[in-house]
Parts: sequence; structure tokens; C-alpha cells
Amino acid sequence: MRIPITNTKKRLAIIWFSGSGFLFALLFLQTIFGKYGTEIKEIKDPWGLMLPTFMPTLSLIIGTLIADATASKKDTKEIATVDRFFFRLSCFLSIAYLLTVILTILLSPFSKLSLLELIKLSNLWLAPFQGLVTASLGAFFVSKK
Amino acid sequence: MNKSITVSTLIILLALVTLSSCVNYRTLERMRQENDTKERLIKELQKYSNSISNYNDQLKQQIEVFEKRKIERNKKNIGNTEHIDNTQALLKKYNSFFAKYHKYQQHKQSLRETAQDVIDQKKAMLENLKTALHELENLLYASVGEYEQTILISHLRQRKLLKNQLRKLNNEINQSMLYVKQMLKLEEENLKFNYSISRLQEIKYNYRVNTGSNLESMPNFPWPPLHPSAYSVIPSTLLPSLTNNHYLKNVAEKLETAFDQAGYSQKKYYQVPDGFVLVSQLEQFNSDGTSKTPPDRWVTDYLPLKKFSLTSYLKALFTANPGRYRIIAFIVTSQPFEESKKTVTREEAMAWLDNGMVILPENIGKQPYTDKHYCTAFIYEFEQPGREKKPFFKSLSNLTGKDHLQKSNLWTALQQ
Repeated sequence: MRIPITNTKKRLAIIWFSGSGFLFALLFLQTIFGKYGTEIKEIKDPWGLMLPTFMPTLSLIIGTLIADATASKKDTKEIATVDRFFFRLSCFLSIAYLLTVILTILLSPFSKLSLLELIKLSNLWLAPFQGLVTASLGAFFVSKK
Repeated sequence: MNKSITVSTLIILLALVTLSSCVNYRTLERMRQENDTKERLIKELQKYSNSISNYNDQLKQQIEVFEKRKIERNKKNIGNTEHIDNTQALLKKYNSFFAKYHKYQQHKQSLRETAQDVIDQKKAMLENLKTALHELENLLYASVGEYEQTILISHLRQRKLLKNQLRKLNNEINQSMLYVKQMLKLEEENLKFNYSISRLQEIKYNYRVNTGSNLESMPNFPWPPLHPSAYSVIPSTLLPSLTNNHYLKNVAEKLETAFDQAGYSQKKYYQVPDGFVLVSQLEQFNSDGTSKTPPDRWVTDYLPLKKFSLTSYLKALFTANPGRYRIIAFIVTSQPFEESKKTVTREEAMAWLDNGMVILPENIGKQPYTDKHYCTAFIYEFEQPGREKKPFFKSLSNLTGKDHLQKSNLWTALQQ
């Protein structure tokens, strides 16, 4: 079964903005309450490691949505559709990826490693994951077919 | 005739029989008496022999007792002789010292005499000069005419010179007197100093011989003590009372018991002037000062969250949760001290438990606990902001010394 691609984009955008917003709020509150210390050098490290995990994808989504919103009616005569299975797969990958990033922070109090060490180590499991997510989202937000 | 013969013979026979019977009776009596006396004598002899044997036994016992006493007396004599030898040796030392002192006294006396001789000589010179002056003055008064006037002037000049010489001689005499006095004083002080040194050496030697131990082998705590994060003076009411002739070992026992009751199983002793220091092992504690529950209490590494509660989880998620460590040292001494400005690292503080003595040595424990002694608890606190960060010494704790002691249950244990 095929579904319109505009709906899938919107749903994926909601997923990504919700997850990224929650992650951003976590980092913000931790910085405010001094979790990362009081030195500016110490505070820059976790922000510098965490932002690249969601900001590029968010930028991509925003850019595509803006482009779609500003497109003329002539370009939108033919409604593009996508297989529902593929949409569901992309949703699952996005949710799993965002949950993995959020849980890295939420489970840090129970770890023997410090939060900064965990964030540094998270590249081990997020890097391959990120490739799959980016590829699946690219099909929705980059392809014009 | 025949009848008379027979009658007479019969009478004679009767008489003989009666005689013999009398004789037999008497002999029997005598024999019985002799037997009786014999038996009596035998009985008495037995009595005497029994008493003699008793006396013999008593004599033997007395001899044994005497022998034992003799042996004991010999032992005492040996000990006494040793003691006598020691005291004789000490007496010899003192005699030799006093002989030296006597020599010094004689030397002093001779110095006095020589000084006195010098003074007498100078006095004699002075007298001679005075008589010469008198003669000149007499000449002066007896002079007539101009020739006598020139002689008078030269005489006056000589008199002036003589007066100056007299003044110089007086000064020299005074100076030599002062010099002799100073020399004598110095010698006396030197003697006293040497005597006190020898006495001190003797006391030190006797102390080592009697105790059989060397004070220098007990490790020393840094003195003056390193700067703590917090401190608290322990009230004397929590320590053993002074009225019952207590020693430092009683104070040590009280502190050890308090540590044991508060859960500190490992502690070490160090030496300080006229006292000791009892140091606990490093422990982790919470921000409110209470000790963490074992085994986390004795872990020296940064600890993750183990028990889940929403408050503790949110606190651990959003705030920095540093590791807090402390070491408590009880310092017992009669010497007033000012803490050093130097600080200690966590590794150096942990090394205090690697060195040190497990029990308080007897020679320190037997020292009397006087009203000059006091006990101070020094708390050394360390903080580790994160696992990847090094722990550092907190020069000023958020809690007072008494808070630390109360929260670690040491105060309650001391009150018991």
C-alpha cells in the first residue's frame, strides 16, 4: 500500500523534532545545573559531541519542508507516494536512533563511566546507526521521485 | 626313835619345802617385778624412740626449710650483689665526678690564691709608691731656696707621674679581679652543664634498658600536623577522667572503641611529641556528612548510582555528583601546636594507613594522662568531581568538625 509522501515527511519531522527537542532540553538543563562543571572548556565538550548527532538531520528536514512549503502549485500536480513498509521502517529507525542517543544520557547515572566518557564512546554504536537513518531519511527528504 | 626321825625329817622337809616355796615365791615376785620394770622400761624406750623419730622428722623438715631459705637467700644475694654492683658502679661514677668537681674547686682556689698574690704584689707596689710619694712630699715641705724649688718642681712632676702610675695600677688590679671572677663563673657553669649532660645520658640509657624498646622506631606523624579541612577539640568529659590515674593507653582504648563502634575497622598509630595520633582509613560519605553504607563506604573509586529513587536519580542526572572522601585523625598530646600551612593529597593520606603501628607501644601507653593532655580530631576531606577527574583536598569543608564526628557516629560512640 502506498501513502502520500508529504504525510510521511510531516510524521518523520514530528518524530525528529520531538526527540531532538527532548535531547536539547536535557543538555540545556544539565548545563544550567552544573552537571558538566563550571569551566567553559568542560561544558563545550559534551555540546560539541551531542549536537552533530541530530542537528544535520534536523537541518535536512527543515530545509526540505521549507522547500516544499514554498514550491508552486504547478510542481505539485502529481502526488508522490511511498510504500508504507518503507515509511514504517524509516520511522522505526528514527525512533530507535533518537532513543539510543537519549538513553545514553538518561542511563549515565548508573554507569561506572562518566557522562562525557559515555558520550565519547557513543560514537561506537551511533555511527553505523546514523548511516542507516540518514540513508532512509534521504529517500524521503532528498529524492524528488 | 624312828618316829622321831621321821617326824624330824618330815619337819625338816616341810621346812625345806616352805623355805623353797618362800624362796620361789620371792624369786617369782622378784622376777615379776623385774618383768614389770622391763616392760615399763621398754614402753618408755618406745616412747623415747617415737619422740626421737618425731624430733628427727621435725629436724629434717627444718633442715629442708633452712636449705630452701638458704637457696632463696643466695638468689637474693646474687640479685642483691648485682644491684650492689650496679649501685657501686653508679657510686664510682659519682665519686669520680665529685673527685673532678673537687679538683675544679681546688683549681678555683689556686686561681683565687694566684689572683690574690697578684693583687697583694700590686698592693705592695702601691704601698711602696705611696711611701715614696710621702718622702717626696716631706722633701717638698723641708725644701729651702731656689735650688730646692727646682728640686721641688721635679719632685712634683715625679709625684704626678707616680699618681698616674698608681691610677693605672688600680685599674689593672680591678680588671684582673673582674677577669678572675668571670673565669670562676664560667668554670662553675661548665661544670653544671657537663653534669646535666651526663645525667641526661644516664636517664636515656636506663630508660632504654628498662623498656627494651627504641622510641625512634615508631613512625612520626607530620608535626606540626598538616592543615585539615575541619577540626574539633574533643571535650575532656568524653575522655577518661583524670581523677583515676589514667594513662595514655586508656585514652587510646577509648578512641579505638569509638572507631570500632562507628564501623572503622582499620586504624594506625603514629608518634607525636608527648602523645600519639590515631588515624582512620579513608571512607566515602554523602553530602550531608553521613557515611555511605558498606561496601561503598570503603571504596576509593568514584561510585555510580546504585539505589533508584526519583530524587536521587534526577539529582545524579542533572547535577554534578562528586565523590567525597575523608580521613579522621585523633591527636592526643600535651604540647600546644599550630597546624602547618601545608596540605596533603589523597594518596599521601591513604599512605598513613600503610605505615604506622597497629597497636600503641607500651612505652607510650604507660605515660601518665595529665590535665595538660588534650585530644583534637582533624578531618582531612577530599572531593572527586567526576570519574575522569583527580580527587583534590578541600581546604575548607562544608561541614564543621563536630558535624563530621556526629554524622559518622563517632561522637555518639565517644559519649558511651
